[in-house]
Amino acid sequence: MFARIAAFALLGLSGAALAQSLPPGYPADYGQTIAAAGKEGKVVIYSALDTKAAQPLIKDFSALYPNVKVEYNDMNSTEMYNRFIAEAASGQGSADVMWSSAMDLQIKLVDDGHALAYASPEASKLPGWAVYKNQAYGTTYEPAVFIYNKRLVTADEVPQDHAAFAKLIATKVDKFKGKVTTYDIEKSGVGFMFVVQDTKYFPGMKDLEKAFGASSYRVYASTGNMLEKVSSGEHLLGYNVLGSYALVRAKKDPALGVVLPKDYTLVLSRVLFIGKQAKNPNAAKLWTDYILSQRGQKLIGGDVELFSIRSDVDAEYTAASLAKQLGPNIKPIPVSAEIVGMLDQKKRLEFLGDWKATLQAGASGK
Amino acid sequence: MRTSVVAAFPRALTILVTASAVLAPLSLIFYQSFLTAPFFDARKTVGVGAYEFIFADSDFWQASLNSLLIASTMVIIAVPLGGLLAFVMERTDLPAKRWIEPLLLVPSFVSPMVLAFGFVVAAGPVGFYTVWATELFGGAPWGIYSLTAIGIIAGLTHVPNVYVYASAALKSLGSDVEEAARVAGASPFRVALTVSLPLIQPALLFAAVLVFFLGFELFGLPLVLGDPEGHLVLSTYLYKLTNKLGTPSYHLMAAVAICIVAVTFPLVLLQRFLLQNSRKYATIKGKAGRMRELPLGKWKWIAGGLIGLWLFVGVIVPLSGIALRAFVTNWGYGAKLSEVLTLEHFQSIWDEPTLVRAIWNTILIGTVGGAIAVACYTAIGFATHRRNDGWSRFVDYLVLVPRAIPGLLAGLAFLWVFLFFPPLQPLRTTIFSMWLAYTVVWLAYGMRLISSSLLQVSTELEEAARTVGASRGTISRQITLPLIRHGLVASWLLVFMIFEREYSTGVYLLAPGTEVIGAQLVSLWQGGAIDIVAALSFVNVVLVGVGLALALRFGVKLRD
Amino acid sequence: MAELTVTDLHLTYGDNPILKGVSLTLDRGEVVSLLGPSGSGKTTLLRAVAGLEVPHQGSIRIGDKVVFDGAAGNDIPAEKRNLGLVFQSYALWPHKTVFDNVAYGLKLRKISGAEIQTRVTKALEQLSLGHLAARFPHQLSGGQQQRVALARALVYNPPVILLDEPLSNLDAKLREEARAWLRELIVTMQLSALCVTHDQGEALAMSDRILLLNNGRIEQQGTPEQMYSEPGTLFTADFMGSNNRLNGRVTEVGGGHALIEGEGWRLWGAAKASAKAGQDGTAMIRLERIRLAAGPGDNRLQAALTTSMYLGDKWEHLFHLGGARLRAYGDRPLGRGNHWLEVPREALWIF
Repeated sequence: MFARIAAFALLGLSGAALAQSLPPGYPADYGQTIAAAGKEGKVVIYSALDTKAAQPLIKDFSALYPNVKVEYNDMNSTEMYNRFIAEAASGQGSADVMWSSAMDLQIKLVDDGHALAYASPEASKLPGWAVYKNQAYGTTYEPAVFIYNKRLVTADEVPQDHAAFAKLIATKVDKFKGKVTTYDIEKSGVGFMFVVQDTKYFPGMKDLEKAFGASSYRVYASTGNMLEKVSSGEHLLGYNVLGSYALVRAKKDPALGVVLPKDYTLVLSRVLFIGKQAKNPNAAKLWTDYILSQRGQKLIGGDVELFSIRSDVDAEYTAASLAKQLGPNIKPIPVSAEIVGMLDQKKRLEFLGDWKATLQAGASGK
Repeated sequence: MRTSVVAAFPRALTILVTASAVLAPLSLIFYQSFLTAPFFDARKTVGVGAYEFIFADSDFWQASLNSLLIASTMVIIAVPLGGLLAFVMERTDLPAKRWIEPLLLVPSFVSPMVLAFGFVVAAGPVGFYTVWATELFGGAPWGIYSLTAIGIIAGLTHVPNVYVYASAALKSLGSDVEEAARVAGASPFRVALTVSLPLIQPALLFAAVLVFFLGFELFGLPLVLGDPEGHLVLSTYLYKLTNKLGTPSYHLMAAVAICIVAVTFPLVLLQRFLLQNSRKYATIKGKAGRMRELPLGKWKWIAGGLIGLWLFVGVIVPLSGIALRAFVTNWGYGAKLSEVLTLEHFQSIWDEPTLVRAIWNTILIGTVGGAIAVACYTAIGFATHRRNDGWSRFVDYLVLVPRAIPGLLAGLAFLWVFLFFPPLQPLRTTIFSMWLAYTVVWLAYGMRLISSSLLQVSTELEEAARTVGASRGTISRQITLPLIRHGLVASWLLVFMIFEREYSTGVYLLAPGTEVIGAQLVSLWQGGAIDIVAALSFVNVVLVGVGLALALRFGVKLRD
Repeated sequence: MAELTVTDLHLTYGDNPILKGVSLTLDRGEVVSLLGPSGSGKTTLLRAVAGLEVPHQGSIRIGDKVVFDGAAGNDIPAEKRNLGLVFQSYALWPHKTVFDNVAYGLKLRKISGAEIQTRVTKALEQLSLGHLAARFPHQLSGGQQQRVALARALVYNPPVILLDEPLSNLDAKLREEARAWLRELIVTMQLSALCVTHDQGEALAMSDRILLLNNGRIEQQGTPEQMYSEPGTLFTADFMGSNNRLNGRVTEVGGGHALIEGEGWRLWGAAKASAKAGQDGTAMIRLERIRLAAGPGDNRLQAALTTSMYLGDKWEHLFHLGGARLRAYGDRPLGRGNHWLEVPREALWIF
């Protein structure tokens, strides 16, 4: 009895949702996708974004598709990858949607055939570099920034570009010794990806690495740790910190300052794809399209406090607002096979070896 | 004949289940260490590449050396302090001993993750105490991120482990041998040096081995305190391998785990050997009579002061740090306490379903899970109780095995078991998976609690039941079990506290549905959600505190 | 001259008084036993003398040296009292060899290595332990352990040796041999010994004097003969030896004698201080003093035989008389039925 009433209510609601939300450009049979998703009843998401941060998206999606329950699980990006491949291998099924800032791992999963091909009707609204083989999509536009402690770093010291950062810690060794922090690139995939990009764009990277070594810099696995330590004054400067998190905290934290480097700013885009073994593929498609849609992106640039990747969205944090500040010096990391190259064991270990050697050279004053 | 088969069945089943629960994960780790890719990956091949890789990695050797250094530092600090503490507590007229004793054991019931985190916020470069000291004296003469500091902190927090064994040994050491020495003309100090200490030497040695191998498995402290200066130990090296190659390197992690086991398992066996050896003295131990307490005189204040200092450094500093950090928005130089007070972090926990679930799960796994674990340990205890056959000896060694495996890896192995062993698959995302891992990881601890209860039941009581016609099973249920019920309740409370504090086992088992506070702390710490870590740590400390208060209220002896 | 003098000693554990004013002296070459049931305070007294318990009142002197004085707040620690103590458990140090156990006290007294060697060897020889010097305590039998404990206590020639139930850990047969051996040793070595025991037979055999303690007080003291044959109180009479006791009513007291009557019997006996005419009283007689009689007579009574036990050198018969039970020795078995028993007037004490 109860089941019948519930089913009836579900059908009624999905009809209403259909009428409201089908924007132009969606295929005519999209209604069937919505209906099928309603039958699936839920979508399982693995994400590297905190549940708390993602809450506005989950609420809004649930309002849009009340008959699709969102099972949102946050975990760190490596853990996501490990869990996904293990679950896939055990044949028990894994996440319907994978959404992670570890762009290289996401692309690798796609290349290894773990993604379901899906041409999102929203794909045309994204920059070309953010769409990969109609399987994976870049969803955000998050800059890598410098952070500093406002109480302890004077205004004239605050470095505005990469070269100034290197110069500052190289010249004021006494003040910054042990007080500079960045990602531990052995522990953090995102941090690793950033410095690989840095070597591409910043000719003085070797000098910066040496300066890191000379100032006996401190490394952490996550942005949160760096924010905490810089805010408390245990460290003074942070390099390549995820700007989305830093700006959010800086709004509430009087001790934290954020700099978007003027020479170039790296931009990371959270990659999303649908799992090939997804048990709820239709619901997964709805989530994908929602995240890429104007409605989802407006939230991403607003309450979620990441940066919207679409140029046609009006919100606080958008690709457009960044472009206004930085002009052409924005360097998005492309959602492409290029970044997977560094997952090759040999290349990666070589890169890490070089990195360490340069640091040591800096530390020993050469 | 038929009756004996029926009677033997529960025992055989118990042994079989225990053996699979212990050996399946271990063999999986062993197997994985000789592969070149995750064992479930079609591209895997068999080989020793993993060992070649780690042996060629300078980080591995550095981590091994650091582990050795930290473990040695711990022994050097914990053994003399623990032994001395035991002597002061057991043999002198130190005032307020009754109140001091439960406090002494607190460090062993607080999660090392929480302690380490507490040290960072309390005594780190901008910790509360550091800031205060700097404001008052213009500087704070300590640092907590160096290898030495980690060793010292670990040593101080492991003093209770030594104290427990040393004081138990002193308790069972008849006071008559000490009195005999005094009557013969030896001063109290001389008695301690020439009679008491040599006689509890086996216990001290045992504790030293224990502390040494705990040093090799240390995870929470170096994870948190070793980060800023990049000091790796074996377990954090293993954890780092999760990401070093960009993609998971289970084979490397398994190889490191096998290396750790290669160090710890012989130590566990050595411990067992020492324990048996120490019983040699027990055969002629005198009667433990009332002992006239040694008057400390003016030393009373020095001894009391030292104990107070140790408690202050090892317990009060980190816990007060946690408590403060949980209630402020930000901290450090220039932050005014009155301006940054907040309840926001607890609100955040409350708002996040996974964290609320983590708290409930943690309570559940401690109370219900702890009770079921004690029931399992009891079943295993009965399977070997008063039986001196090959199976009993097998189980004796079996229960020691999990002790040697770092909890981190045991958890990972259990994840694999739950993923790839079809009957268990549906249970993977339930708290059962976490419970099973906890129960197996703490098997040796639990069995020690149970068997010490069982040993207190005199053989005659059971033989008496036998002669009036009770079968083995009936005796177990109707004679032995009722006799040890107080011991079981005490074991349950102790297991509760251990399960509340456990953190490393859950790290890889953490999944939607299996959240527990300990593992969440590791994950949140890695993610840098410091506010939440502080608040959750606070909740954890409160839970352990409730357990401790209950234990004291019901007069549970906090050690076996 | 008194080697040990204890005066009005009081000792309390918490609220529980253990010694309530005990005094004793021990002369040179004398063996004094502290006898009493468990809880009487005898071991506590011994330990207080050794310095292992702290009394709160009274004084203890060893020779002419005051080692404890409650009033003056004077308390010399155990290690400075220079006494020898043999523990009930022997308390041998399990991590030292027999030789080292015995040598320990000498080492503490800063005696030269060579002399330690001679004195320990001599002590061990004296106690027939010479061949065991290199053994560890757990390799010895109970009797050997006891002798090591003794050697350890004697080797530095303490003025007084304290023995805490020295024989109680031995087997019954061994105990009797050890008793004789110990008495002989003490006498030949001219030791002054204070010995705690709960076994009246042991006390009688070993001691020159016995102090019977009851509930923290000295009930009676004297030579073994006095204690056995002239008990002052019912407690002493009851504690020493095997007894028959009969409860009745004292009807007459006079001239050192008293008459006590019960259901179907009336007996004359020696009146003790507590016996009052017209009050309830207790008659007591040692088992070996009651005699089988052929028929009725003075101070005789009739009782029914329940059973007889053969003890080897004699028979023990068990009789019932009303609600009371009587035991008597005889040199032959008895037939069933009623028998007459004679209770010698001088051997019956009436309390």
